[in-house]
Amino acid sequence: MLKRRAKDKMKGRLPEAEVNIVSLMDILTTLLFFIIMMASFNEFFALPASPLQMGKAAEGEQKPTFVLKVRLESENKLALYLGPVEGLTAITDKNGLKSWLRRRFSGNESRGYTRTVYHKNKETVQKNLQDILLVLKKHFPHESKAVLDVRGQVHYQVLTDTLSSVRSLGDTSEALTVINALGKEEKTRVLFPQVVISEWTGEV
Amino acid sequence: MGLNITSLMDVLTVLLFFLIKSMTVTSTSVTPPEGIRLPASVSDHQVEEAAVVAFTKNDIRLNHELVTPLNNGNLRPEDLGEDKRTILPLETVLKKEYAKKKRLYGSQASMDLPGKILIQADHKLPFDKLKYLLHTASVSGFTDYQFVVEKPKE
Repeated sequence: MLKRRAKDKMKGRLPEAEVNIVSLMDILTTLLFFIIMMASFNEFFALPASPLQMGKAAEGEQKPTFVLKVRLESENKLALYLGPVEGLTAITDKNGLKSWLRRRFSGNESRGYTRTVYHKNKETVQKNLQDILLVLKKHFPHESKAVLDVRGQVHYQVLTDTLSSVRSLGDTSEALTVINALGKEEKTRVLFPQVVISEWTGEV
Repeated sequence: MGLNITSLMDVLTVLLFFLIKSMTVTSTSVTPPEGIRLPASVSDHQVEEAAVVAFTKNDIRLNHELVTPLNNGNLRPEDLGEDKRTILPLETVLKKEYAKKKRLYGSQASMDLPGKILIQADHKLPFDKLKYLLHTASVSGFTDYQFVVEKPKE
């Protein structure tokens, strides 16, 4: 009787089956080792730049152009050169810019302005550079080109630090508000992303 | 005596999903060669697929293949061209690479021209040595430099 009851109970159940997971384990471990071998646990990013290309303006082309050069002499010292601002049309608050340039730079409107940034702490040099570039960007919001002249002894790390500072604001800095081509205000961290790299030959 | 491997399966499956999630499958490997410590930068510009040139302490490599050895970290005089700026073996392989990519991209009208190049070098490399690599890349048609950097270690 008991056996019959047990049999009746068993009727509603599916028969027990053994699941062979050996092949699944094979696939998982093979895939795991493959992915571990292929995976890179470092994140890599890139800093774009372009080379200086020799050329000359077409004859008769006298249109003033925005010229911004950062001359990198060492990790503690760099110099800025802003070309003549006379005749540039994309300036917001001309008077404010001119008085700021007179205070912070040496030079004049027709020949351009220069300024040296120096500090024993290289991070401070980069920060001071960004502060200056931020003001320039506010006055020239549609300009995006800059030239980076590099001295031979400068290390690659210093080059990439300066390249990064010229291209965009750091995360710790507040975003810049500019008026875009449609006339609307927008926030951006982009400064001068089109950087041309050249070798500093000693000329200004 | 049965062996309970449920927990092992759990660990393996979770590890697998984590690795699949974090892995990016691209044809470009930007892991730097041994001996190079890339410069640190907070840049978050994504690495794009391009030829990879590495300037290590012992040699110059293109896509992880040896192009020319260096002499104590310096270029050998016989490797420099008449202009004393172009690295001749590198120029040869870069021009081949450019031609190869141009044939490929030429058939795909919507794709950008193949002027991008990824540059890997040690963070202490002076610009005096790097400039030869940049000049050679430029004369070979690669005018869109992408300097490979890594996140600063906190």
